[in-house]
Amino acid sequence: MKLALLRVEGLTKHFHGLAAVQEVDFFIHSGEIVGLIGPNGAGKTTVFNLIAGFFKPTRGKIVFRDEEITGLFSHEVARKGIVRTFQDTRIFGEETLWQNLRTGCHGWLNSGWVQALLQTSSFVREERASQKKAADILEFMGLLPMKEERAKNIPQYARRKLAIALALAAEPLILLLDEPFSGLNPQEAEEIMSLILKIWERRITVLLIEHNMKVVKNLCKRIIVLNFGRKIAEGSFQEISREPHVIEAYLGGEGVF
Amino acid sequence: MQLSTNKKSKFIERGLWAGITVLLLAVPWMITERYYAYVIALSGIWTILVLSLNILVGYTGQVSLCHGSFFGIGAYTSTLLVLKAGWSYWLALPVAALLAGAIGCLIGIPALRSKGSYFAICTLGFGMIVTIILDNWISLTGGSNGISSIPPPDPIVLPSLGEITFQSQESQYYLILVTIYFLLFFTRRVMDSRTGRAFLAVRRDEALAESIGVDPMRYKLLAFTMGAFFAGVAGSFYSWLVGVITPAVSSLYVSFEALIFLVVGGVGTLVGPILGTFLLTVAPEYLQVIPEYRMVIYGVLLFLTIVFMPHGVMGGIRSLAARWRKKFGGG
Repeated sequence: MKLALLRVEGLTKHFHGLAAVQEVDFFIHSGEIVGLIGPNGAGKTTVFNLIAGFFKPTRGKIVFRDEEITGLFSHEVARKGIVRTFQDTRIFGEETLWQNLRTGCHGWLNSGWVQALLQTSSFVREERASQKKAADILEFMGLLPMKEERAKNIPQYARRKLAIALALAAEPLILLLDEPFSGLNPQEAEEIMSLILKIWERRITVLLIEHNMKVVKNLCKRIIVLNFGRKIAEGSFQEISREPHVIEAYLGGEGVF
Repeated sequence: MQLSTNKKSKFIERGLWAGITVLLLAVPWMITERYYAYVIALSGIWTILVLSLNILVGYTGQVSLCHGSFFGIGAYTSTLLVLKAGWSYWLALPVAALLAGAIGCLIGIPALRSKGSYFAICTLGFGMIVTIILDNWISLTGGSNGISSIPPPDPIVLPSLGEITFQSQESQYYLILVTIYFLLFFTRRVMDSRTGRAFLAVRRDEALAESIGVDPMRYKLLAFTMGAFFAGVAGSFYSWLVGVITPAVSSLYVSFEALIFLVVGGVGTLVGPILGTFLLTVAPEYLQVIPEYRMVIYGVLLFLTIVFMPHGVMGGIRSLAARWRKKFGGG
């Protein structure tokens, strides 16, 4: 049996007694693109926040590469290789794209301020490595021509790509993308879709929250459906779109699929 | 085209720095009147304090109201070690700075758990405690009378080259100037590294910083400790330049003044703190401002700065330069 890269068991989160996520189990294999879908308020982003360490689960277990990571700080989770993006496209707006990417390299570097002050050889080596990484990812995302622009001055679509680039700079093993397609026109969505496939070709596993069913259908071999904090279905697009629960959850849902 | 503009602006920047350095080195020849030389040296010490505060407020975005405490801790520690324990100043200075840094670190651990204005209030409380202790631990600190006749730093003996003494105003001025340059060098190196990028990331967006593996607490604490360390250096310098210290050196006034100088000069810029401090300490002396009006002028200046130049004088200069470049193209 293939071992799961990420495994979530009985994941539960209560906010002031209200259950946002209840007893959710799933696993993700290395090299998959998995979709996490569900109506608004189903608990998708909460699941992301729990996996990435932004919330502590009320109950349940999160296991990454055979190691329990439940309750770790978010920056520790990031350094282990789980990097998430935010629904509201967060970037360092005051900084240039280049500086954004250099900042993104933080997690896999080690040099501290003393090395920086003395400009030790390990510091210089790490700086070069992060410059190379930043240039590589900007090129990969097609953002290299804008690298000296301040991030807040670039168009919304480029910012969306920058947010993904920033996450990639942190060298994730698994990338959690929170609605990367929302508000994009079909052409832009098409480009992001091919970028995600290219990211996947770089052996990065992807877990993706998405509303756009066309995207989910095209990208994800496996889909997990949440509703009211519970997992109500899992399987290929054909399988879940036949599930009565799922159709019901999407209210008159046949139109959706 | 892009590259040549870049090179050109780098060239201009280097030239500016060189010019300013020559000017600063020549200050003792230009200003010979003892009182004004003293005012300039004092303003240099304020500059060190404001630069140290900038590491925390400017780059990490944590507004602290107890920076004066570290100034006071530095001043008292080095003075007591020299006068009561008979230490050499050059041993007392690093110990005083390290103690200020260590206390900063200890206070930072609980205080930095709170955010924004709550953090400011925590530091306010700590700042008051330090002043109260200095005021009331009379057997050690002399209470509100303070400590007087603090000697200047001991001479540094250089084998076969003679010794550097710090009796004269000029030598004291140069010691302060070298320290400012070191602090600028330190800040520049640190900010142009992984650590500096983490500082800025924490200032801009903590959640985003965490998502890429930056531990916000760690970097806030580091900045707070660094700031406290250099504030301790500034305090120690203050003690011998003025010759007298009282618990007032650790007071909220010091913290607030440092913050005002920083905001007026330009938070998070390298040169802003120097401009702000110079503008608000030296200029009033030359303009013969009546001391009672000083706080009123600070208030008005602070108000004008926040309304018209939210990024301080340095930000104002930058946007003027950008406008000028746009207007005349290229250059």
